[in-house]
Amino acid sequence: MKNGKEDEVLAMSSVVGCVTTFDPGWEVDDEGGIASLCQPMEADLYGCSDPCWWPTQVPDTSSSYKQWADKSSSSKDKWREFDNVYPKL
Amino acid sequence: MINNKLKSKLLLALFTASSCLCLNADIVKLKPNRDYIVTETRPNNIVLVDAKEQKIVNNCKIDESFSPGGIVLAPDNRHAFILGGYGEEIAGYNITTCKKVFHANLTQGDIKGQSLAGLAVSEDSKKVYAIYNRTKLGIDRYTVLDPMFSSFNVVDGLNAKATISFKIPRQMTLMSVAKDGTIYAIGSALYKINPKTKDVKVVKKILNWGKKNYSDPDSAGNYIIGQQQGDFSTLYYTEKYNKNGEAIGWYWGVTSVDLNTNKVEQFEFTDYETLMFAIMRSPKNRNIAYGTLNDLTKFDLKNKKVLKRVILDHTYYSPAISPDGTKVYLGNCLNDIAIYDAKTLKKLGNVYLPGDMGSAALQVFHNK
Repeated sequence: MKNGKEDEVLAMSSVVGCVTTFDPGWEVDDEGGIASLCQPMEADLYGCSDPCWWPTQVPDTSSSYKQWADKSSSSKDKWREFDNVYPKL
Repeated sequence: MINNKLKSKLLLALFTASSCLCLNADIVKLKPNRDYIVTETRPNNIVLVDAKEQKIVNNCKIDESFSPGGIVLAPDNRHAFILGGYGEEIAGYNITTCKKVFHANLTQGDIKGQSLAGLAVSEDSKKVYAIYNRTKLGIDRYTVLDPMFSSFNVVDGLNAKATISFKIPRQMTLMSVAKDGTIYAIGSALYKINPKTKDVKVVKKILNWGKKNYSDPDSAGNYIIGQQQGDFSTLYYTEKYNKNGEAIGWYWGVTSVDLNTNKVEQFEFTDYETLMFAIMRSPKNRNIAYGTLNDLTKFDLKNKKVLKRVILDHTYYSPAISPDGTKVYLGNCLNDIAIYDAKTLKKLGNVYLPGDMGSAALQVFHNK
């Protein structure tokens, strides 16, 4: 701000945790509809968590919840096995 | 007696030689004149698919954790290199014998190195290139460091260390290698990387491109596809303005390198009608391209026309085209590969895999 402007905040500047990319959720797509959402919704779980794409909607696989999906090799058929869906208390 | 000793030695030598041959022999014999698809699936598989018979012919178990699921096939068409260990490890496996031939850690000591999809292999299959982000993990703080490019020698095996490393600009996500060995990387711009001189040069601007009457484009390159087809293309979309500065529509464009000729192009080719995550230009006719997410669309790039569009059974993040340009393989999501006729977009079948591909895309090669 010293020069009268703020430096641009660049996404993906850090990968300690999935905290550097921000996108809307699964509720609506970029045009306010649902046609461009991944189908079925479960198809997108790994697509979002593996690359830390949607950090607030899926577990942080970069640091905190690496094993969240280890019991499920199929997101469509075995989503009940995800740790965050039915955590053991 | 001498003869017997000599005979024993000869037999031992023969046995040793045959043992070596057995150890090195392919577990899977690739059939001639046939396309194969290689990909990675959960929980720990590198899968080799016979595209003609539409069936899995080999399944190699990998030691590394699956995530993030990037895989690249070396140009020798025998070794696949994966990004594993949550982006902190690179490993290489022979796709026919499943033998592990390479491993390197991007994390060194308290400096964590992680790559999203920044993995490529040199044209002679002797070097592995990585681009990755780094963070110093302190006791009470994390310090963001500059991202890095590193080159590894495959021959260094299972404890490989980078032979060349240098800092690179932020936001690079993908790399590919041209036939002449030129390394291209893409992110907020298209770059050329020269490991010998450590020079990183902007070849084509993307972010802040300054194109008159267009908004800054939004671009994403997440999937390792296209080196076998000689194509390195990523999509962007941009809003166009009239001379009064009024918005007149959104358009899809492509930033593209012909890996056979090093020709670089950047142009819009269609209205923004449906969302796509990845596109590939045909190896037989670069004017034809196939884009995908929830639909598969065939484009005539020069004439800016949608030639055909079909709705898919489910999302597929990325396409891969057969080397002869006749088939389009869709993958990179859930646990099946869909096969389409490239001319008609008629669906030809599915290959079901032992687990989800996640972020891993398809590598397709033709075995002569």
